[in-house]
Amino acid sequence: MKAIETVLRSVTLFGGLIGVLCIVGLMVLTVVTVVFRFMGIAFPGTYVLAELLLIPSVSFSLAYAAWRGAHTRVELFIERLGPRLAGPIDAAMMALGTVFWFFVAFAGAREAIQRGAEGEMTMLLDIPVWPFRWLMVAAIALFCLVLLFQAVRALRGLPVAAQAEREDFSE
Amino acid sequence: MTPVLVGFVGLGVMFALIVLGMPIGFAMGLVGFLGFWALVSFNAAVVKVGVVTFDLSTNYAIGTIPLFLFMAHVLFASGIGRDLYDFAARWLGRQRGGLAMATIGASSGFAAVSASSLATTATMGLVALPEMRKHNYDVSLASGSVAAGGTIGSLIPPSGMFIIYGILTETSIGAMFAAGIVPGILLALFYMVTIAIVCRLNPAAGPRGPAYPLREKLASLGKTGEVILLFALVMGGILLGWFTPTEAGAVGAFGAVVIATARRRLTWAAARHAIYATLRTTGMIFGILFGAFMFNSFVTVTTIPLNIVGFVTESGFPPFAVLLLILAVYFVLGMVLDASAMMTLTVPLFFPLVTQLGFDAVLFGVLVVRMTEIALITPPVGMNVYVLSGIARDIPLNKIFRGTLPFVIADFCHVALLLAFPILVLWLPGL
Repeated sequence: MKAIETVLRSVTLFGGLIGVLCIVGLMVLTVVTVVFRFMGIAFPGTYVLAELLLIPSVSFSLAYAAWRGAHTRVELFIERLGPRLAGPIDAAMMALGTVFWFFVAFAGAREAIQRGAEGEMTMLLDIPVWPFRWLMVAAIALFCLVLLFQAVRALRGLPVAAQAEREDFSE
Repeated sequence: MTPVLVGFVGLGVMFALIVLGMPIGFAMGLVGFLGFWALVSFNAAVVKVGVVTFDLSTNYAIGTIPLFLFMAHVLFASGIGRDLYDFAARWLGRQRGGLAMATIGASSGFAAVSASSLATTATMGLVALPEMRKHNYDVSLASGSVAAGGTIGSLIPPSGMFIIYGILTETSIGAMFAAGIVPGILLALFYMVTIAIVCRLNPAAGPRGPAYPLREKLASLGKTGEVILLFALVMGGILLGWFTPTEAGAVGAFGAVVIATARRRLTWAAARHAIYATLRTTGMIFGILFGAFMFNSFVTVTTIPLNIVGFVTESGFPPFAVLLLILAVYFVLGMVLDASAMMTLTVPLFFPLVTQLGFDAVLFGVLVVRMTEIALITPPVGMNVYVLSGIARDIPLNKIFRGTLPFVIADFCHVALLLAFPILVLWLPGL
């Protein structure tokens, strides 16, 4: 369990780093575009690049938020239950919730295979889109693994949030 | 089963899952996917979920979310909350209840660079609450003003709630930002008047603070000058058509980095904290948005929104009464759901009806955000109150809720004013 936690943590933080770099990249790219536009110089295709940068930013942020226990939930009812009941319910909800994200990853993979075979390219810049589609699939798959790991933790009666709090100091 | 019945069953299952603690976006997504599968086909559901999530991830407009969040987190790390409060306290603190008014003023200032009510409450809870307690303010008034001041965060742009509403309804995010400015300023004034009335009725609730010489007051202005300029650049840029909201977010974030660096407050640790906090909040928001978009697809095929529109238009209810009823539903839902969940759940159901009845999409957006914000300071799920309670653990929850009561009354007066004079909302976006 500890080994899985270490690996998952490293991969999630690495994914988070990719997301972070993409957000910073998006900021710099957009500012440069705006500044040059004011100088009368246009870079065609920067919108396309920005859209591609958004894919890893958004998809890796999901896994990172899950690792930190940040996904919004109503705890009004569950808090009133004893830990013996709350743990299994928490685990079941987390595992059930993963089903949706599994289908997101599955649909993304199917689309990536199909579009990749068609040779999908972006407009203007002719950048292949398939690597970004697979990046999204990988990030959502990681997200699913994090959720399942948290479900197991909850089933064992371990608090998922405590994990998140520790991360505050290790980032 | 008819599609409408499947829709209502789906809604029931989703609420059950949410109550049992499933993250809100996951419950919406799961029910949306399974419902779509039941009503159309498995293959269609898989295609839909793939298209919806990829399109959302590559929507240029959603770049506003991480970029404005980054701007707020960087400024937060640079200690702007403290500077804004010091500035407001020096100018208003001498009045009776002045430090509470300063809290509202600083909350408004912080709202101008923050996209979140909770962040505004947390910041002012750390900065303003100890000051008010030091000056023997009534605990209820002090905590109530911090919690209520936080709600201004979602009204004064940039606002995360406006961005989510804009994405959900395809309403211009720039127009939503512009629409929030006048109501946001008015709300701050309403809150200040509320504090003045409370202190008039009970002068001991908010004793006068120390007086400051003019030189010190002007010096405090200097500390907040760059942030005021940044807000003017970002919002002015959107209103004047220089930038799209996404570009404004990037310029704002970049400006925040420049300001924090110039102030020598952007340490490596602070920068790292800011960017990772941005990533975490982005993930939290998209966890809900992905689910909400799948859920919306399901709701559309159930034909529930069409049936609601048909029922209401055929029944001959006055449109204004329908709008009031919808706002009342928000107030009730706000007692058990958090703001973003309430918006993503209900807007797909109500938006077609409201626009069909002839109400402006921007006006409805502002009213929805107002109602979801009132929910942040009303029991039992008043998130701002819980955030504050986490900061000031010695103040009982009921005291904070009691303190927010006068502000809730002010909130209803404010909503009534916006309903009576929609021009207050629509004037700026219409320019």
